[in-house]
Amino acid sequence: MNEERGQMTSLFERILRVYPDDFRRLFAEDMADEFSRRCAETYRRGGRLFLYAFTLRTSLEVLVEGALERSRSHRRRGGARGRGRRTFWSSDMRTEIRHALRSLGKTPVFTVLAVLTLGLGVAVTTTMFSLTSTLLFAEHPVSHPESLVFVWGRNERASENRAPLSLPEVAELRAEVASFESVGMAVEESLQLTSVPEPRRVVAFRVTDNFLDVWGVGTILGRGFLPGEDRPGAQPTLLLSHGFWERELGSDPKIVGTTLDLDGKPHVVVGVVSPKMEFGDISNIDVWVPLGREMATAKRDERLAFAQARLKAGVSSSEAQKECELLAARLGREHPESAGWSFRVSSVEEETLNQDDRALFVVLSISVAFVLFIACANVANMLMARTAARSREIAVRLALGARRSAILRHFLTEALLLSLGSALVGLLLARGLLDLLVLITSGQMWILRAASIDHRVLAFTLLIAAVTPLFFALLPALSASRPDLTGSLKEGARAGTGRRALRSRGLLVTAQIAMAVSIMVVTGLLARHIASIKSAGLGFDPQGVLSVAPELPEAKSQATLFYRQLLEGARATQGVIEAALVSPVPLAASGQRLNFRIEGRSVAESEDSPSAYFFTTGPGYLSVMRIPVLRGRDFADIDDEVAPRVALLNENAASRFFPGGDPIGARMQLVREGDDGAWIEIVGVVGDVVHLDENNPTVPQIYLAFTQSPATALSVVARTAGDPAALADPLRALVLSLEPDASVQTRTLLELRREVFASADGVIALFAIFAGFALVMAAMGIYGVMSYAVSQRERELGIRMALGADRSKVTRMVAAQGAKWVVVGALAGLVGAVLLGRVLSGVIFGVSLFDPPTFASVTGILVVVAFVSNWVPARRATRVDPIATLRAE
Amino acid sequence: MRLVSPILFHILLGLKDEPQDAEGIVSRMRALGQETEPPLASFYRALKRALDDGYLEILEPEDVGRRGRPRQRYRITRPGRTALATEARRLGKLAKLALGAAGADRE
Repeated sequence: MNEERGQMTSLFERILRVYPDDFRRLFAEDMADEFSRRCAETYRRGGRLFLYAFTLRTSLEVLVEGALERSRSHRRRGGARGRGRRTFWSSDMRTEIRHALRSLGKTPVFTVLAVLTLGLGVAVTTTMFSLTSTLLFAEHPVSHPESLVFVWGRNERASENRAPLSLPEVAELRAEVASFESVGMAVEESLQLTSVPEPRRVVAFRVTDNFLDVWGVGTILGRGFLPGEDRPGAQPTLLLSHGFWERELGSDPKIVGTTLDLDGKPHVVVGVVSPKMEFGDISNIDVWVPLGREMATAKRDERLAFAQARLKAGVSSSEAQKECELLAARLGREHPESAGWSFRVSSVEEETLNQDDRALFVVLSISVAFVLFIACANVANMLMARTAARSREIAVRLALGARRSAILRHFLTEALLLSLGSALVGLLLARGLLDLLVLITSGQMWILRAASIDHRVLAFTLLIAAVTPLFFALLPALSASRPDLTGSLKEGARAGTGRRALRSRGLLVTAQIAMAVSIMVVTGLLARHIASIKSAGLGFDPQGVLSVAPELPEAKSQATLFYRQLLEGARATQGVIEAALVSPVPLAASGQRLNFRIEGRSVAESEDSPSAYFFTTGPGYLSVMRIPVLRGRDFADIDDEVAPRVALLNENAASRFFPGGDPIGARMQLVREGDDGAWIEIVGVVGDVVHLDENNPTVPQIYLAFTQSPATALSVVARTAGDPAALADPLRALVLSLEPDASVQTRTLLELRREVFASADGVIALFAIFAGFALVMAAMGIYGVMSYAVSQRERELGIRMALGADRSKVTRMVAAQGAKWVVVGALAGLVGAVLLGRVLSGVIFGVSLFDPPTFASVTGILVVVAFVSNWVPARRATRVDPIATLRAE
Repeated sequence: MRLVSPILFHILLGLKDEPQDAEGIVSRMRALGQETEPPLASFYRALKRALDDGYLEILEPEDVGRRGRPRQRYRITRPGRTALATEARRLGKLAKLALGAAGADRE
């Protein structure tokens, strides 16, 4: 509650700015104190709902009072200069506001509906703006972001363009690329922290000594790494991330100089990194340790390093790119492992928002504009109906000599008050929406966590509130201030301005439907695209599977015996149907990308040696994961250390490397330092398993037997009889019984899947919320306009019925009018959807942009909703009592 | 002399015995039988009016407020007391009239 009260009070403090300076100097702090006290009391009395209502009411009141106070103070000052001059903020305005408030208060249902409708529109717009503003204006953690670049590995044949680099490559970038002033890099690792009461794994960045300098970020305690501290043999030191220091070490101010044990080795804490360094993926890092190894002599096929560089003054990133390409060409000639690889230099800006994200953002923003428009159109329709009902009152006022401008001003003041109210409702809803999105994505998207309602968002919402009345109120106000005087004053005259008004309202409804259809189709396409990756695309069945990842102390990381015992133990555990070893677990990581040679084929100069993602596993794995064996055989117990080496290919690799031929029986050789170079026979072809990079769901994958190609970090995957999470504890206990110093991470594959798709789910949720709002509001629009149309034709319908017209015929006739709008709107919406879909063509794959099921189902839903909202008023038309109508004639 | 609004009347009444901060004024109002708290904006508008008319003055803060800041305190001035007394007399006359009328009705 305290946090909430704090937020409300800071919102209130901003609203207080509406008061003139002298008033604020006297009372602003006192008012905020008093507000905060009343918040606490209101919360105690009635809970959160009361608190929101209190904030809303008080804010509105302060907005109005503040504006009036400003006008008074202006008048006082104006009075000194020239007494009697009337300004916009004069007492007229005060009367106007009072009058408008009173007239809105007389129709509470209309007021609440209008404020809520607009509030929904403002809420989605505000949410979207808050996300955009977080992305665009988020304070850059780095100083001079324009000269910082990221360097990635690029391999066109493997459609890679964000691969990490190898350590020797980073060393060569440092030594040979003149465009770079400095190059820093980091390798993510998981280390065992032992000098705490409960030993556990921490996420570490192994970095070069200049890493923080390249980023331009400092420490808030102690110092950064010193030059030379990253050399092998230097005294082990470490930096703490701000979050870790705060969370785990209770922000201990005396931490610098103490020692923490990582992987059994004491490390001296030299500093705490500034909290600025906590953004994006880097926010997961707990500790920073120096690299501690020789870069130039490390393996070339181990691509682990995330490299950043500072450009020299006056050098552009494209110049650096050219220089890097020259270097890559030379490396490719000199080292077979580097063949086919190049570098990609990308700016901070590109890193923050890549092209696909940008496309998504554009379409999201358009959808938001649509939702806001639909809301405005609805309120415009409501206002038109309201002004129609008040046409007699207006006519009387005009007849008594009121000026047209006065009538206009009255309506615009009403609209402004409505939109101020809706801005406040929208702000509160937007906060709720952001919370909801964090919940849906289980907190996985940093942008959602970082987004907040700050002063920029507040200013934007107020701007929206000031501008929207022009869209929803100007037309009704104009038409209201030009009524047909004699017609309106006649007793019994029909309200409204007849067919012309109906036509313009029909047009609004048509536009609403078109926009709702567009958003719904785009949502449908995205949802189908994600669903297609989620289900069919996985390539294995995650249901009922638990993964157990033991992390061994470094000394034991190659313990084949440990893994064998673990596998046997897991298979014997009650509740486990079958179990196998694998590294890495799909979805948790992509597998190591390695180059290989195929027997009997020479690699042409122009070509690179083929490469694929490698998994290490053993017998039973395919069956645990339900990955089908398409040809040949699975691994078996006979594939042990002494047997000839064997491998399995996935379908993608088979068709890519053996087009038209049979890979079974063919032999390959790994191009990797430290490999014995033995020939490996391909014994089977298996189904494709999803690759983590969503734009590239199927890639060549190769499976090796763990008995023959030992891997460092194997995990157990176990298919279980019941809930897999229930077996986490017994299996954890099993690992600890075999190796007491190990730490264990257990995850069900469904959990992994949820995490992987969290951001996609977040985007879909956003679209779904927008589409839902759009649909509901469009339905409300149709309903409102149709009811209006029926009320307009009541007399005509009554006469028709009196003359013996068939009930169903009358219903059909009335409904046909609405149906016309629905059909035209839906068609226009489909065209709009195709255009929006084009923008998303880079994002959506696996689903046609003209996906018939999506188009058909969206149109279906809308048609049903539209016809119901159309039919109900149409049915009411036939309930008109002909006798009553005729009597009125 | 300006007309004293009901809310200003209550503020002046609340400050009659000793200087108070905003919270104190509101709780005095409660103690004197006001069931609901005055709307925040109207309350401060009345305070501003009273300061402008010289009915009140602001004292140097003493207590520390809920949010860690000292809270502003207000003291009634001589013109404030006069205005309070005048308004009370006026209300008293009205009350007498009304009660008298009610008494006449009963008879």
